Amino acid sequence: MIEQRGKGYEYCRPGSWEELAAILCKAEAGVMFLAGGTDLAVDLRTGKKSCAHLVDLKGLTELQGIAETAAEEGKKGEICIGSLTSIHQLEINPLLQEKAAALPEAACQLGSRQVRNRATLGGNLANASPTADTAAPLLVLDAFLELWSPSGSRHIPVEDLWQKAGKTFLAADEIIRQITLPLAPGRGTAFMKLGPRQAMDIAIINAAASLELEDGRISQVRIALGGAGERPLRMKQAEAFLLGKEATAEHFAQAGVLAAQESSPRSSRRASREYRLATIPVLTERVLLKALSRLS
Amino acid sequence: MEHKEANSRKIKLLVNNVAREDTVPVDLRLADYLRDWLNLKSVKEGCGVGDCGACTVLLDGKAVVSCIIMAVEADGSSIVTLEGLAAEGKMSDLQEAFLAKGAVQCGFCTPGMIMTAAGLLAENPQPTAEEIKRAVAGNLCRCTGYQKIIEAVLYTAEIRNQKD
Amino acid sequence: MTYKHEGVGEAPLRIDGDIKVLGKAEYVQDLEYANLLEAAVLTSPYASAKILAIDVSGVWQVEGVKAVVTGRDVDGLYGTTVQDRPVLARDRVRYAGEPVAAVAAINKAAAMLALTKIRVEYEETIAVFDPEEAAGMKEDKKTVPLLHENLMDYEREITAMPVAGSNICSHFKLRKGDVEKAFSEADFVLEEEYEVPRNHHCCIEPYGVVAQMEREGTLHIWTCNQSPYVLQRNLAALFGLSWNQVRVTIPTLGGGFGSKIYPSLEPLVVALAQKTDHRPVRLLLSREEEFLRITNHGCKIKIKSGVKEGKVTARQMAAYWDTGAYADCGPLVARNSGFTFAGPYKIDNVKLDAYSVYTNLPVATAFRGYGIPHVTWAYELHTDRLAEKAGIDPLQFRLDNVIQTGDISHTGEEMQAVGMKGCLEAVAEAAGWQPGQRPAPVDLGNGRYRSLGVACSWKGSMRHYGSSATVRIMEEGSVEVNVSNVDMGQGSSTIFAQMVAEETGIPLSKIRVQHPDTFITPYDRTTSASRGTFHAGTAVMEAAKDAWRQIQEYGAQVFGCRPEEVKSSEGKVLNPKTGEGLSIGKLINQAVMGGIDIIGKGHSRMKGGTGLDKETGQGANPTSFWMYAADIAEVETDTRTGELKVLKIYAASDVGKAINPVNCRQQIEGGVTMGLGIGLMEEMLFDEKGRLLNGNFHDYKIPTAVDVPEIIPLLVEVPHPLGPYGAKGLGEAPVGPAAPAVANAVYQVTGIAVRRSPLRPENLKLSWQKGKEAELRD
Repeated sequence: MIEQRGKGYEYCRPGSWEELAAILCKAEAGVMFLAGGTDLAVDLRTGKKSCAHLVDLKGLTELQGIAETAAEEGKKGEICIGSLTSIHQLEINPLLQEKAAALPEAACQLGSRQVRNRATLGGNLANASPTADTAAPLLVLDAFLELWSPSGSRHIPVEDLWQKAGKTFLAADEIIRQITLPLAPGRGTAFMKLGPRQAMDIAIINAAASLELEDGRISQVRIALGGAGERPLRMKQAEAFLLGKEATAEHFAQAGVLAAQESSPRSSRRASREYRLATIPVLTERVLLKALSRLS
Repeated sequence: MEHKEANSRKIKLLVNNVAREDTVPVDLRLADYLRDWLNLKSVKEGCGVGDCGACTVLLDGKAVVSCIIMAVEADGSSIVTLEGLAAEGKMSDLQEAFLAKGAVQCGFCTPGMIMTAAGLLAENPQPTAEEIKRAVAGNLCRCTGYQKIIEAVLYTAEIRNQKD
Repeated sequence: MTYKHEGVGEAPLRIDGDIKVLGKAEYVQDLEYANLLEAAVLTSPYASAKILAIDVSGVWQVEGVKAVVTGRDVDGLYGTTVQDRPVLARDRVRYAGEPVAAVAAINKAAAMLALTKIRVEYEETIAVFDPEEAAGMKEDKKTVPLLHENLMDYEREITAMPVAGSNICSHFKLRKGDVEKAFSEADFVLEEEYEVPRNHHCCIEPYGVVAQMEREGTLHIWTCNQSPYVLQRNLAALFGLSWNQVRVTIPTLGGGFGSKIYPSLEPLVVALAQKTDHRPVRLLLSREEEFLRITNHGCKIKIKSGVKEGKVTARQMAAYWDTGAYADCGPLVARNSGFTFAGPYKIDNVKLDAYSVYTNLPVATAFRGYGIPHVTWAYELHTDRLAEKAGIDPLQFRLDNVIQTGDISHTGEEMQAVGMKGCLEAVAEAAGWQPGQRPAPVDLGNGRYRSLGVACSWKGSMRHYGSSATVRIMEEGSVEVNVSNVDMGQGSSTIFAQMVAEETGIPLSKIRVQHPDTFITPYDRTTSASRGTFHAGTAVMEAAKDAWRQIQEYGAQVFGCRPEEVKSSEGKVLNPKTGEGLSIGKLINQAVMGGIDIIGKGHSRMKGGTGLDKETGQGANPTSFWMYAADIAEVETDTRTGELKVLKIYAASDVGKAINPVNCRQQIEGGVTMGLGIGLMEEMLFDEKGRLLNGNFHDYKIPTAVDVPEIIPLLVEVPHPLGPYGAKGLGEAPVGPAAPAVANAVYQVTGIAVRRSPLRPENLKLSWQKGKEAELRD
């Protein structure tokens, strides 16, 4: 690894949307957005990534924060999270702990405390790692994203963000502005992670589930896995199998087997495909059990 | 002659309660700014990629690893290093606890470890052993086995709570 | 200020603790110099290649470059046991990561940029990575490329016993009794193979060196090294200087664990320093470079034992130590772990072969335990299989077989002060495991079980190398202890100060222990092999006694009494007639008009050491002392994912005498944690071309605070007749048994043996799956 100082990029920290838009319109190419920088700072220094303009978003203070919008007639309640909210803020937020437990549960297992203090939710998503710890919870929470670019904003379901490992569908001048979680009061959610070490680890597999029951039967279910494919994935066959069934350990185990069947994990330095396939059923089953335990 | 010069930018910040104003290269790491420009040598270089925690400092009260933050990103913020914990050279209670509980061996991870613990105690004055373990998991130590470090942080919290 | 004695057996605060918690301790990276140049090293991308050409002319295009060196600039070879290593590669490279050229420039960025201007033309040649294959011992691969064609021509120490025409840089043999006969008479014989891959020391301080050719002719080195005098002599030989021209200064060390014992990149930095106008040249390694600088050995072990009536009657073992491209201390690791290889058991028929083998991987060196963690992994997992086959509880089986005081060891030594059984009994009692009644695993539901496992280990220190020390008492009553033992975190300086306090009555707060410096502190061979307390400690204790004797003589003169009547009290010298205390300064003043220091001298000169016979490995006194350790691990095994959660480790070590019980517990807690790391998660991964894949702390895992279980350290004290105050060494022994104890607990749950470490969830899960499939087929 050859380290070279001075890649010659311009650094700027816009303080307003107008300023950001002006910068983006002027810069022709080679723009990179800097959020927490916990991955990007190293990649820039080692030359793994390079850019002409490094645009630090931390000057846009309104990108930070977690707020609830109460339910109104005809509209569900929501939790809105600014994309530059730190992972640590997610971890300790009482609102999320109460209404979207899977997300703070994942947040507290991401990296080190120092990284969690710095890394942001938007950054974790835009990084497009197949095992990003916040991805699976957002998938089961039906999160959608507000994207912003100088040409306007748009909304997409979180599922539609990722193309493949390291690649999103974001346009070159587009950022994630806000993450919105529609609230579902009767829901139980959970997150689990499998890694070789108990802390400070990138997951081999991570799993999230959300579950609602009606008259003892599963009326809504979401299962999402990281590390099961090229991007974080919903396990839709397993979900379909469970819908309308009783929430039993046996059914969860069967759903786990189905989840493994619809997964296509790859072998990497962290784990082989074989091991990932062997543990997907277990994690799926256990995360469903955990979500179930949160219902009562 | 080939010699690339990085772009520079002026930053203003508080370091250990002293106001600073410097013009720094945009790719200068906060760790290097603290060590080389301000001579704050408690900030240790252990890995350079944010994995070991030896360069941990407080940025606006939160523990961060200064090797993966650029000095320009710290513009407008307040930084505290281990040097800043000991007011007028007098050891803080947390430092005393590390010493008293035998939490120090080779000492290389110690500054970062103490800073992470300081950040934790500021936010959570009565952490459990489990919470302390999770908080310092990003500070690698190869000597101690961590047990006495956990004890030192618990002890500090206990002493502080007795005083309150 | 109230007087605090803080002598032997007490637990004062670490004397270097205050500067460390204040962030004032200075490691190599913190030292400041005028006109400092920064070095950067270009390394080989190939594991094995010829160097056809090197063109360094491009470096001068970069502003600020002051010196460049390649293998052509530096003559001579160096090495700990075999002088096989060039300072920079010359006509060939032998591992990916080997230094090929180095640059010194006014800053690191310029030096790094200059490296990109160096053109090296290589021709890749066939490499060999598996030590058994490299040794030519694999039936299907008898022809292997030789790493060192002129192996037999190298200068070497007698401990290196190379095999001509091979990659074996040393073959250690031990022969005792008749294993074949004993196997034929045994109730059963069990033969197994174990493997421990390469792992790494991971000192949190990365390696750093500063070298300067000073104007007055001294070569001055500041480095994080555990053996300043070994380095001094190696550098003197390599650069044609006399020993008194080479000054090695050791600042505070950020961990060692064996990685800093022998000369490493220091010669390279000296070569650069020679090309500058007396400017200091500094090399600070990145973490990735530190991973490649030096590593622990990987090892494959074959073990075969015969058991008769519950006793191990014969053991045959072969170990293939992967020492990498250059021997470093590989032959010593093969030998020192070799003579302890059969484990802390009384076995009358033993046949051991340990091969230190060159491979095209980075250089392997000493690692806390010097091979003992590897061999303990093999013989302790094996011991549980033997106990199982014999139908005996594994704790009971060990108690029935372990070596005891008065037994004759595998090398023919009559053992003294053996605490092996005491360690096993201590952990058994603490864990509530009655010998003969191993608790059954507890079913925790959903495929999780909790169980206990036991393991034990021994470690011989090493040959009887000397240590010297001086204790200098100044008139005002402050004391300087000069000793070249390196405190790298184990707390030796505190222990030495306690010894001086013990002997002189001078309070600890007045005692300062110097950093090692070959121009100031006297000879000490090395801080390794857990020898500091025993050897350097003996020297310090003797020096303190010598100094105190001189004070007593002055006292006798001033008080008009016999010297032995002079005692100390609260830091003062007591007049036996009046009971009045006199300060040391006043005493000296009254005796000799003042103006002198009291200088006490001490040496550790162990007599009666024997070598080990080249053919039989026999020797009646091969090590100055032995250490013993035993662990019981309480483990939760998740049979569905392969995850392990170690809940508790009861860890006993026989320390002889705890000079400082807190330091002893620190050593045990840290040693156990390191043992768990290498047993559960640590492994250096290389691709098929021998290139390191995980040279960083996110891909190479060491335990974090969350991974470490509750560790219950237990001190067993069987005093050693020659140790200072009865003390033995401690640093290395706790590493060995931790991982095997965990593995044995896991085996109790699954019944499927996993013989390769580390016990990563994936390795376990997939081994169990395969084990189950194999069972189904049978």
